[in-house]
Amino acid sequence: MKKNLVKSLLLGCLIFVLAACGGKSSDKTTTKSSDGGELRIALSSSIATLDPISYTAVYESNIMRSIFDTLVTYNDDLTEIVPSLATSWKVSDDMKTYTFELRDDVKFQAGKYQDGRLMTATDVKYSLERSLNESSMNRIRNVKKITATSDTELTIELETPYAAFLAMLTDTGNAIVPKEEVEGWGDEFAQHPVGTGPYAFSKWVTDDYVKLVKNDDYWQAKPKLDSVKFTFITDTNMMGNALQSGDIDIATNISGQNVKLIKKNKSLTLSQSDGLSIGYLAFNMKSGPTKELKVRQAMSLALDRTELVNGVYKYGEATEAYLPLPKASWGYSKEVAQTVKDSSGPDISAAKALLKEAGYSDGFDIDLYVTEARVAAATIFQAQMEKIGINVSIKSVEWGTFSDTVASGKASMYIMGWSWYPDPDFFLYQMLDSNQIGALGNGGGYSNPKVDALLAQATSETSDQTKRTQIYEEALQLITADIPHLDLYDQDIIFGLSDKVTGFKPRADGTIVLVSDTTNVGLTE
Amino acid sequence: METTEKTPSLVKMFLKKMLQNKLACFGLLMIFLIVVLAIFAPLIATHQPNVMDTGATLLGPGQDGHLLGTDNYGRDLFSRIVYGSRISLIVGLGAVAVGSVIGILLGLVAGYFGGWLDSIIMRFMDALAAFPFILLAITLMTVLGTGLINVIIAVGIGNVPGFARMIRGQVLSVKEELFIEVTNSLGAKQARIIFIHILPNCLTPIIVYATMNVAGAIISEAALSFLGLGIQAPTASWGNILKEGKDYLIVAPHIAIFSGMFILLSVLGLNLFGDGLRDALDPKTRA
Repeated sequence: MKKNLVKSLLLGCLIFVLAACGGKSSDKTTTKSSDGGELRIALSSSIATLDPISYTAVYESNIMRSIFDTLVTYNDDLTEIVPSLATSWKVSDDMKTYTFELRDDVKFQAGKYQDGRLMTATDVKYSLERSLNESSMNRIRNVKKITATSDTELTIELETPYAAFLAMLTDTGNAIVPKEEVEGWGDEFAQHPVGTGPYAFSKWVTDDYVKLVKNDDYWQAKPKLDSVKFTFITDTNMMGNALQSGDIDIATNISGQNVKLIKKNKSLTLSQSDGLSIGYLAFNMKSGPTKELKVRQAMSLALDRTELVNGVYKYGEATEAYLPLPKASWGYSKEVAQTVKDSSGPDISAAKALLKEAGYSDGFDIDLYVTEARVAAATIFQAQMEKIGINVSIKSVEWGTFSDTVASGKASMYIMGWSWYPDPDFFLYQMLDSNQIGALGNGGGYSNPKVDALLAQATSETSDQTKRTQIYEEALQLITADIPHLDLYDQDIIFGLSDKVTGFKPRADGTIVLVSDTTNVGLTE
Repeated sequence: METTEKTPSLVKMFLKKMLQNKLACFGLLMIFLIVVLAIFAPLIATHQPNVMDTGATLLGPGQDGHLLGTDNYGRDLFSRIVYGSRISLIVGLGAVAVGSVIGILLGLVAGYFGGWLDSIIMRFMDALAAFPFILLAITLMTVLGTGLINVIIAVGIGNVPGFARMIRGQVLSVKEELFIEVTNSLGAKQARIIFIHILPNCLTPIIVYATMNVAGAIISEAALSFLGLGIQAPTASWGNILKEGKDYLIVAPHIAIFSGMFILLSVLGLNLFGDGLRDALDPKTRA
């Protein structure tokens, strides 16, 4: 018995000692050097690949953004597509042929199979075709033919007119790679990536870090930093601690108590901006009580968004949302959002009356599917629905089960997040077009032929952004009247920055861009 | 006089030994307090455990009439911990009941009959025991789905091999005793021998082992709930509260500290009491 007690005490002491060690680290070697130094960025998950065509997670693309370039890219606030490797482009009148003029001064980083040669239109053709044929991620589609008409000119013919095509080309999945390196390394290219970007790949220690070094021949500007180290810290609290103790310079995906702690710390800056990430609750539109519009209206009236958003995001990491499109998208309509807001609750008695009209005066039992990360939102929603007699039972399942259940249309309700390019097509078409029933996006089975027609029109009739915005506004009016979703919140993009970091511009899609025509991230002493 | 004195003397001796053991008494007190909390939860709790107040989240202990403060949804932490004790006790006792009934039956059969039956049962138990316990429980939870009954089954199954092994060992020694041979030769049925004669003679270690395992089961429930596989929101369980507290460890440490403390105290109480029980029941220390 005494032995057991002693053991417990020893174990307790050990835990305290280990906990005390956690925050400190002796790694203080960086940032002293005068010519740039090393920027240390923490990502919230480890990575599996650095090959553009096979990446699946934003963490991977965040590293690849610095190694590779794409033909075109978004400007800082993601409202416009701007030149990158392509200097200009023309779209034919039938919207089916895109002609790109390429830069003639872009060199690949030197690698094992080439020594930093010039990039040509043939490389672009090779890279895009590789993404088209070998990637399972569908990052480029609808392409009929790619032709390199000269070293600096390239034409892409589409199967059908598609106004959101350029948005796809901004994806790291369609970055330009040198054929020699890809074929020379074979499958190992994913561990030895070579591109045209500002920083070249140097070292990857699995589950620990990826190190990049300056590419002196970068075509856009001379990168300010000597090297960049991306470390993987999966626990958000540990990431916050690492930033506070100076082990990292940039912390990503900041949320919860870390927001408060970083704000309090005078040598750190909290960078917070609108994001492209939305959170919503989707109804099953085909079966169960939620297929009745009145039931959905009642639930919309019973929902108290302010309470839910403030309850889940205590430190203001998200804002209330009313549309299936984030505020940072150029297609966002303030008018439609206001209409939804005006017709929203909480109005418990009106909600109860609607339920009664729908024939559910005693309420009903219903399942709500979520993954672990959204249990908090589900818990508050559950408490709110209880007020009108709807008994919500939360089914917290792991991602595989969640996506299967949702995609097969078996979930009565589910809370999910969605994030993609700022082009509304990647939100509205993907989540609400009839063609997407059976996919994860439209797991609720929403189908409105008028909406389908408008969504098709928006990408096939014109590539003019103003005209497209009008079409999407019309679609949003129809969608929000049908209430296939209860749009809950837009998540902000939050970085924690050490004061040593200069020139860092957060972007709504959460990507980390170190060198562009408007930025060149550096470090001060 | 003489006849009535002999029987209580054993009980008296046991009680005397238990009372002399201060740590065991402390353990018993802990257990008693938690049982009282669980039984009288509606009377003891100061608030409804699931009622949220998003205007009063993460309050510290003593603030605004909340004895232990509030959690991230503004629910009263004390009331949640009080109601959580029910879950912990139900899972603790339920899982040990499941584990011990199955384990004892298998152990009795394996030990008494021996031979190939023994080999099959015990190799199967070895295989079960070779799984890290938490991995086994997670696998079972994934298959069965979340919920109270499933937590009890999953944790209970994890307890089976321990009971089976222990009982088998006991049976092996008891069945060689002279009185079993006598009962056998008098023509008693096997079921009678196993349940009337062998099982009661194995009870002492079972009681001690079961007490200790209740503590283990409480921890397992907390671990499963912590991983999001156990008791589902909004039901309060110590593991759930601890999990929610994890995200507010710096700004509101009281959530994790108090829920963790109740887990610690109940487990410590059960272990100390179990230790005391073993010492008091051990015939070798019976002076």
